Amino acid sequence: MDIQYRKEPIKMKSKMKEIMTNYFLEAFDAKNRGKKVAWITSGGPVEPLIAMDVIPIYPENHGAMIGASKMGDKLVSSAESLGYSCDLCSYATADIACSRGEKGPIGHLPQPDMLICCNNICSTVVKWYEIQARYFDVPLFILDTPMCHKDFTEEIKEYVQKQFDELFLFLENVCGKKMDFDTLEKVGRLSIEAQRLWQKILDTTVHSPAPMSAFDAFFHLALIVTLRGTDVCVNYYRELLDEMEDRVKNGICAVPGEKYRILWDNLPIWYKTKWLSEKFAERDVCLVADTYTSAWCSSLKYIDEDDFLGSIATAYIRIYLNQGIDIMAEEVIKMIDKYRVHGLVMHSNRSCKPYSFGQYDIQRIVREKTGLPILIIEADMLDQRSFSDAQIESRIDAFCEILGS
Amino acid sequence: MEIRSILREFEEIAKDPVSYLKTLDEQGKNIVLYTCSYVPEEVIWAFGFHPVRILGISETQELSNSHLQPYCCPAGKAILEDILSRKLPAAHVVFSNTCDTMQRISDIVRLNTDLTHFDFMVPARLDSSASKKYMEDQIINLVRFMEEISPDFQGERKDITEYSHKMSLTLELFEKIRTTILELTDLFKSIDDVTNKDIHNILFASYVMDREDFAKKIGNLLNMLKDLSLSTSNKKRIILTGSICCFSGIYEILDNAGAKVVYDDLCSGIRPYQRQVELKGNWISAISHSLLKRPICAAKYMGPFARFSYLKELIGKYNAQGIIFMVPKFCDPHLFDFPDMKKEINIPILLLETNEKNQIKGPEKTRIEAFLETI
Repeated sequence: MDIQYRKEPIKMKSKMKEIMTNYFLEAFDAKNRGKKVAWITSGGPVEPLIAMDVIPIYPENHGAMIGASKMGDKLVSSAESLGYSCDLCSYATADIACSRGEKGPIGHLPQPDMLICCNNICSTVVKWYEIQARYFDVPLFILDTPMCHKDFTEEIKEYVQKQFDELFLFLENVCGKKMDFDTLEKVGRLSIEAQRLWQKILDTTVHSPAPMSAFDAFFHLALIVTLRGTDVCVNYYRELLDEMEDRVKNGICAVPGEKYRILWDNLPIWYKTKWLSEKFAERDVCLVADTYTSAWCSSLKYIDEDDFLGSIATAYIRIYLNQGIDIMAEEVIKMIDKYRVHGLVMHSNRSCKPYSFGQYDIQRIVREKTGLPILIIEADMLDQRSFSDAQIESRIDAFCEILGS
Repeated sequence: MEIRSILREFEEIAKDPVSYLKTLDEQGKNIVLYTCSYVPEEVIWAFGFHPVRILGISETQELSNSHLQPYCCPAGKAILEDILSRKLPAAHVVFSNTCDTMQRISDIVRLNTDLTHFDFMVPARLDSSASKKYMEDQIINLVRFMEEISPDFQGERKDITEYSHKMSLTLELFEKIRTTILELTDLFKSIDDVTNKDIHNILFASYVMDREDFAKKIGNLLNMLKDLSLSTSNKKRIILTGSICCFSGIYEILDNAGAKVVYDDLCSGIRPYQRQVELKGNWISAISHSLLKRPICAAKYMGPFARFSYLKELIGKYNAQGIIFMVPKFCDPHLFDFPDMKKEINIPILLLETNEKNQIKGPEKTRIEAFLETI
């Protein structure tokens, strides 16, 4: 029997909004509840914070909200007036502007009691958190995770593992209590479970037509970033996975006329996700996967569920971005095969140099090995001033014509 | 030999390092390029190779533009261009994890050239108890790389202690170079006959020249300068700080405007020479210690105020009247520092962003001159 494919909104979207609202309410009320707040980078180890009952706040997640609310240009301009170059990471500069009194989509973030910065995603975060440590006058912990250009070595693992021991001591000092390592193991298991569920959700798009698109994944990503290691996160993704499986069964999909399937590289262009989604959908193109949202489960294969503490260093070192571009290119090719895509769209993101530099070489490697058409879009994840509607639409047009040829 | 003729030799090398290196190459010197001042060049030298720091001499970006976006810093692009154009006669390159840009350039070079390639991974965080061991591991890795590319390598690795004698001679030479440079640059601030440009030429040559020859020449120069009468210069006292020098013309502009660079804190200036290597004891620990304790680069972390405390110390020590903060456009580590640096430092600061290698246009020149007039 032929299935009549149709598009419907993802039901869990409202639940996500509810969870995130409660999360921020709790964070704003942290002092009254006797809880500490830690600002942490998106690739940073959240599990020790959860185990210590510290509320993690993600300025990068806030950055995504700023972008989606189209407030990026205003906040980046404000940071420029404070002396921050417009060429710097717009997540960082928008966050700095918000910290100094500018209002963002939720006003401002709850003030931190400490800052936890892991440079597995970029070196920018170290400078960004240094600035915030000076401004808020709070302790800062830097977790240095050297890049594995070619190989992962025992000496890197040992180096990072020792820093984890320092992190535990740091948390004990700031929180004034001992780390409960049994609790940390339990949090670790929940974190692994959430990552597995997230991977399964992303993998539902292997089905054609895909029950959701990468644009949906950009939205539902929030919990795996902010609350992994909690029951709330696991339960949410269980339900979301159920919904995705139901959508596959019932012919509900992101692009009912899905003709071409695309892989997206780099961060979303937050202020243009709807616009881009529509532009691609109009051309029967669905962005079925991306290298960004899958990064939060990219080191699953390195985590030992029975030895979370012993494998935590490896897990936080071996993430997608913290490796050589030839290894990244291989990952992209694996995704191309897995999700059976017809083309690759690379966002050359002015704000994210480690993600963007090397893209031309990745493009060459992928093209040589797969022969797929590849489109590079020049933009910024947050600052609308770097986006040209007309130019990008005509490039998408040309790209889609090639897909069909 | 006259002072000016020694200075002229350095000037010639700074003007045309390629010809100098080609001559060395023809003489059979085996050149190893390296990209960052945290790479311990003495290890390269100890294995009979000639270390050359790539400072990005290319003024065009034809080859690098096909690998890097327009928003990449001109210093990184110039370094990549130097390597891809093969204008420097070398078969080996040592990269370091200086910043995000340099890490990706390292990958690009590894994938697009036949140079033997090594990544010397410096801890980004220098204040951790884990940093010492990790830094030592990296030095050992560099030794292993040097072993492997040595012409007489037979596939068998030696015990690291077998290199102690070789290293101790080398460490002595490099320690002599560092101390002489520091003494020389310190003396220079009281001698008007030696210009800012002269000192820049010496520092540039220090990264290129045969080190024994260089040590001899700066030793002679120092002795000659010591005989000169010192003056209390009434020139404006400037500290240059920032990334690697992207515009060597700055020194002439400052000479012509009557300013003295009392301390060149650029990454291509004196800062890399501010490390002392203990000559007795374990040489790996000694090199590691010197790298961990040297004045930090903006891309490293040793506490949120480390860079500013160091600059304040320099200002006091040299009684500086102004700072010129010279940064290539798109250089994240340094540009992030600027707003707080302005708050922390109590003397005037001029931010000079350079977009193209060795290109400073009229307005910037006027800004420098106006800045000097106001301090």
